[in-house]
Amino acid sequence: MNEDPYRVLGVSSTATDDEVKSAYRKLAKKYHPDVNGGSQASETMMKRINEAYAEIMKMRRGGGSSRPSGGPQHTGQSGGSGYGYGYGSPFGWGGFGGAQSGGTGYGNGRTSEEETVRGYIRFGRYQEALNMLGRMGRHDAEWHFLSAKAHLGLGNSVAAMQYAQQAAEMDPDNWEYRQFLDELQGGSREYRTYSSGFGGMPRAVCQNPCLMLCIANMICNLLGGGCCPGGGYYGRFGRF
Amino acid sequence: MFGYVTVNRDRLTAEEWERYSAFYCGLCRTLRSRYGIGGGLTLSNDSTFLLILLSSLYEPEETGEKRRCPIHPMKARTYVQAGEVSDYVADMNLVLAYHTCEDHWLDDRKLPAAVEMRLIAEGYGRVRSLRPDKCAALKRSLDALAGLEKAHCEDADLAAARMGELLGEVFDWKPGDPWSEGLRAVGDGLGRFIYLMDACEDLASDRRKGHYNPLSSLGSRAEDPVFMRGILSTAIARCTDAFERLPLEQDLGILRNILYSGVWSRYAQITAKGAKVSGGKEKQA
Repeated sequence: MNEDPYRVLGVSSTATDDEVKSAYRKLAKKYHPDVNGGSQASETMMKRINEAYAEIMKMRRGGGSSRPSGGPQHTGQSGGSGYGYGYGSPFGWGGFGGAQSGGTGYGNGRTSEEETVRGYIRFGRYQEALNMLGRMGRHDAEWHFLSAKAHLGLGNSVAAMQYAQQAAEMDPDNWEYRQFLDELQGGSREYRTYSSGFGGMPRAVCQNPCLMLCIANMICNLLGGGCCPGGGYYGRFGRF
Repeated sequence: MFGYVTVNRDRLTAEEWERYSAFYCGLCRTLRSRYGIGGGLTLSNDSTFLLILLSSLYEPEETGEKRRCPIHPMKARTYVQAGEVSDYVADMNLVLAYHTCEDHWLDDRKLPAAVEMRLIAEGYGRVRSLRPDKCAALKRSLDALAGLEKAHCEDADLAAARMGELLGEVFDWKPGDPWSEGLRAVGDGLGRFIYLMDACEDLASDRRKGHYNPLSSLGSRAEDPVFMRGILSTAIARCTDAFERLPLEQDLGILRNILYSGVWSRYAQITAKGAKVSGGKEKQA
């Protein structure tokens, strides 16, 4: 959008995520078409507010070029994983086309292909990254690391973990691979922060507000099961 | 849903537990009033989560009071209903329950499943006529998932993605509205987590019995609790990343309790069992 999203929501750019959300809700309550008789003006305003909110979240939580993965944290408690869900860069792509195989045009020892893949990943173009990785011949530690990142972006947890572990095993001194694997083991930096606030593993007890339903489920399962929740909906492996 | 999406009661305040229970009981009321006793039996913690989530996002008008429910005649309980949101969640809950019962009856001939199916068949028909597109989309995802299982798909991510798709569809109450994509993303991550958690839980016994399990191809990595915890954590982190992008205020404590803690309740059981079986100490990753 063209205007400053923070100005639309009436908050400062250093506001916490909670403050941004609160500001959004206040405005939404005021301008929602349902409370304004469906007026065109309120619909337009609502659209601006929604876009501003979406823009701020995109900027803060990854996907945009202002937040490369693993980069500095934004103010506010978001923590941010940098793994955008389908949020592509608002900017044009240019300058990353045509990879030469095996070339070392970059002083850090990476090939231009690897740089291209990193670029794709940074801009959330994970499938393109994977396509390129699939064409590369050398499956070294860096290849595994980049594969892990691309798979993670697509939500492929099993593949991401496998590749991340392999990268760290192949190059145990690489700090970047180690840190990435460490992050994955806790889900993401943000997930680890929030979940530690709840004090580790919960006790494995029945959390059902309705004891009778619990008992009903138990009886049902004793009879062979296969219908009630708690006992399991998607017993597709036939175990319930 | 396997009942994974629940609260960690130890870390809820008394107020939060009351509120959670009120939603739970309210959903039961909605299910019973729409679909009779059979509907009430399909009540789940998982759907309660969806109800609280959608209520937090859309902040519908709530109705509720203290009443005696037929199952608990001694003490009056507070319940909360959230209008259209409760209706939608009840309908989705019923559709999923119906399909599960159908599978259990057709695949395994489980009698209780057949009985339950009979009880809610009419209700299912009504939801189908009320929400034809949604039901068709759910059926497509379920069929795709069934197909992968029949083919003994070795790519756990592929199968998990289908479950993610299914739950994404369930969570997307108003397709095309500003929160449609975000809700789908929350459902997607949660669906993948649930699928992988279930596969994790069954892995040891599936291996012993020579049954299909999508994680079997992992070999020795599947014995590594740190690795398995990582798979599950990245899946749920995908869900929570989308969740934290939503402008939520109401009942945030309950919702976070569920997503960051409660969802691991069964995993605590699984690892405890595993430790007993192997005789060794499970490293808490």
